[in-house]
Amino acid sequence: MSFRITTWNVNGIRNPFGYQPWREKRSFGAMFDILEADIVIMQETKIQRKDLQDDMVLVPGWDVFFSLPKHKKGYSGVAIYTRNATCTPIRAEEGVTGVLPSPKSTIKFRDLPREQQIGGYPRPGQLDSAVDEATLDSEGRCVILEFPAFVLFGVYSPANRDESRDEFRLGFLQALDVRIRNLVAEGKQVVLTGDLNIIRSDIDSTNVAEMLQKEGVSTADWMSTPARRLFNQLIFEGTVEGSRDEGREDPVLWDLCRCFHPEREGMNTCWDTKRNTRPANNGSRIDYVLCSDGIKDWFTSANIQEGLMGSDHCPVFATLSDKPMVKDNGHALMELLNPPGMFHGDQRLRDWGPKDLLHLSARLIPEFDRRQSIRDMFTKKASPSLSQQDSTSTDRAETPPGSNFSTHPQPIAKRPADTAEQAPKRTLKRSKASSSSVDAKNKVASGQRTLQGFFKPKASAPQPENPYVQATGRITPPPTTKTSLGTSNGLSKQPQPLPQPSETLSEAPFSTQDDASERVFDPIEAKESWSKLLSKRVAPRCEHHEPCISLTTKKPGVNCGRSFYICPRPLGPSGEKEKGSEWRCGTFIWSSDWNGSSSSGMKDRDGVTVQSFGAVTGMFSVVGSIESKCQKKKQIVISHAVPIFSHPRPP
Amino acid sequence: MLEARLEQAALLKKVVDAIKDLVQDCNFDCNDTGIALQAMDNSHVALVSMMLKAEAFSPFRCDRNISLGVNLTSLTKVLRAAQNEDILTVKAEDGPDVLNLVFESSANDRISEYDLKLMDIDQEHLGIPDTEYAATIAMPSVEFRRIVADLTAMSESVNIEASKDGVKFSSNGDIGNGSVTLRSHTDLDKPELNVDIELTEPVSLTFSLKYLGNFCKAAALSTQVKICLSNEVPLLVEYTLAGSSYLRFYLAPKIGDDE
Repeated sequence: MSFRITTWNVNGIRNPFGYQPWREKRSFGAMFDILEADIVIMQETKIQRKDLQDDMVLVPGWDVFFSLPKHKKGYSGVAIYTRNATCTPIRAEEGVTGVLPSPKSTIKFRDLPREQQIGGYPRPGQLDSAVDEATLDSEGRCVILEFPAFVLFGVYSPANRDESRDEFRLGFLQALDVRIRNLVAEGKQVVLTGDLNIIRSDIDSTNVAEMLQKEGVSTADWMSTPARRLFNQLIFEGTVEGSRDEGREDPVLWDLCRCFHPEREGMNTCWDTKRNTRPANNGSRIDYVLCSDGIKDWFTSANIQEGLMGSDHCPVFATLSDKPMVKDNGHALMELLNPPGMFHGDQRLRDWGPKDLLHLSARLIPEFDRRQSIRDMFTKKASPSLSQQDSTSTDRAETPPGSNFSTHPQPIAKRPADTAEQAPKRTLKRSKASSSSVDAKNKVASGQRTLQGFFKPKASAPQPENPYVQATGRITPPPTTKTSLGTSNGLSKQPQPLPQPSETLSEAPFSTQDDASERVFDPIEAKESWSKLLSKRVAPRCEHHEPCISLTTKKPGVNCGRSFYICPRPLGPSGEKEKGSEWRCGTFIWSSDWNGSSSSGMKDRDGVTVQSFGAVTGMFSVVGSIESKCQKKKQIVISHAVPIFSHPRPP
Repeated sequence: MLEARLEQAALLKKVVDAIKDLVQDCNFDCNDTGIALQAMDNSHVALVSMMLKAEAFSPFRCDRNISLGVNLTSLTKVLRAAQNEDILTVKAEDGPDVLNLVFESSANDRISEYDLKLMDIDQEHLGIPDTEYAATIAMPSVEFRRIVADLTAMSESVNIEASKDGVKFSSNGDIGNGSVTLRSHTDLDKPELNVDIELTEPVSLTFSLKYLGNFCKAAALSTQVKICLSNEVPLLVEYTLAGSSYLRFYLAPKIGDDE
């Protein structure tokens, strides 16, 4: 069994639980077992300290160290989980610079007694950033753990979002660079893991060449952007344009994934969720596991796990050999990853215990610390002291001893552990939730009447015997009716105003009100018109003959807020729309230019050209203005317009 | 068949309010002696035990033992529709799918009726042994709430130390430390303000203030609260309700720092 270090930008610590396979158990222990990891470094936990839950801190068999932002809430954040069975850090720090106070004291990490320090702190003059050290470490971006074998950095480096953050980003990277170089200079080995938000070179992202060409930037310039240049000077075999910077003369870290896969293209770890570029693997490699030269040979493999869903990044890992060579001598890895005295060779001498917890461990946050289970206290207490009232829960169900909780309808199954209890409870909850959501849907469907319902014919309409044309020929509605139609305020009362006039005009003594009204309007036709008007708009088809998706322009400008249709497929590997491929085609239709299905059928059936259209347009404009207010809810389009109340023309 | 009528909906409203932050889903176990509830919080640090005796209702009828699995958040929503003075009747069939709640306002002949869907909750029941506590402190529930609130500002946990001098609540936090000491006190005019300390041996235990703060939400139910402590035993915080009904909270002490 090899030792595995996995880094993953999870984009919200609970985010993966929404995806397979994590959603099955929804526990961190199960997640780490599936990852087969011994150390898990997470970035973008996006959680506040007050929201830390038992299940993420008290993971059985794991210890965890958090660095959470001091001010911004629900942002950034790094966590390192360590498996107690295989590794135990000997020191832990938060932040890159050592300027933060150590837990439960006001002493900075860098001012601690030497034997408690990880070391390598930036010396005066080494950092020239305008951003001060405390600010650099205030955003929850770095956790450092020291094992006897190496110092492990878990980092979430600032993204290259806009210029206002450039100074912070470079300041942070510079501090990281300095700290790592200092540690290596002190003779320590370093493993740097995390989302560094830097693309190493053009092979590490899709379509760099095209992108640069489009923007008119030369590859050399692109490689020399400050962050990328800094990174390439930090790693072995990095590409550095011109001469190296002062203080960065030598590379110190190996890019492990690249070492094991030197030629591989498309080794992307991060994709654009909004543009859905993951299916076509149009992304970048910005998550890394790097190690210093002295331990490079310890690693037996490194790779990305692009098949694992749960975030916009995928996990990246490296595995260590069981018997790494240290100064030409084989050593058991366990000895090197645990405090002295815990292991001898592969043999465990003593178990991990609470006193191995470091101050930074989240298990020591007051809320989680020194906690006792009330269940244990009651069950422990019960057996020795009160034998006649033996009160384990199984007994209670069968033999009610006359206390208040004595009677239970069915024996309550005693469950062995917390984990076992969580599972059934959750399934129950889920079933409850799903049923209620179904209920909710039904309620909407049954309780809320639709406008269409008002126009349903009461009885089956005598359509064939009473052809529309015939009816129109017979009855001429008086002008009063027309006006009542023309004004839109009486929509729902449509059938009512008409019977009276038609009754008076109707010669047939047996003709009922219903009959008469149907002569004036065909209810089925009216219904069809309405449903056409109110139903979801038919989306145009793209070149693949698939219904398009509708999006809204976000880009500021004249078209901002306009909606449009494009091909529903994800973007292809080129990152552009493609012609004749399986990826997104070039279909683009402004919503306002799209007429939906044509209304020609109506005209044909009537055999009458629509004259009353003009009379009704007044009403449509009203509908139109409502529509523009609630654009997103329903696409009602004026251009659908077909006569709703196609009442007859005077002969 | 369960049918239980409460003269004042306020009682159930307050009880549910007091426990809903501690427990999400729980079973109300009904039998001919009354309605009982026992549930632990998610992290198994605290336990709620409620007993509403049959005498608290008029009338009370429960032919068979029924267990009503209720989501307390949902129940709170329904109870929000009841006025404090409404007459509340809860009804359930044997083997029920729903809990029926009727609120009657005698003043203006308004009757509202709700059915709350029930859930199957597989809940663990603990046998709570009768315990002789080393220290029993009775005090005004408002006073206890105040102490907890004041010390929460200082720290996450409180040490409760009962000795012959009185009972001392003390907290040690990042910003400093603080303590409140109470001595026995008898107010003949207003007995609800009494502080009564019974002690067989001195005790000193540490508890999470977050949980105590949750318990204190029950202060609306009773003017007095009883706090019972013993070493190696969970803390008991008891609010006595009308008759011999009660709402009890148990809390596991923090493990000592002696390691």
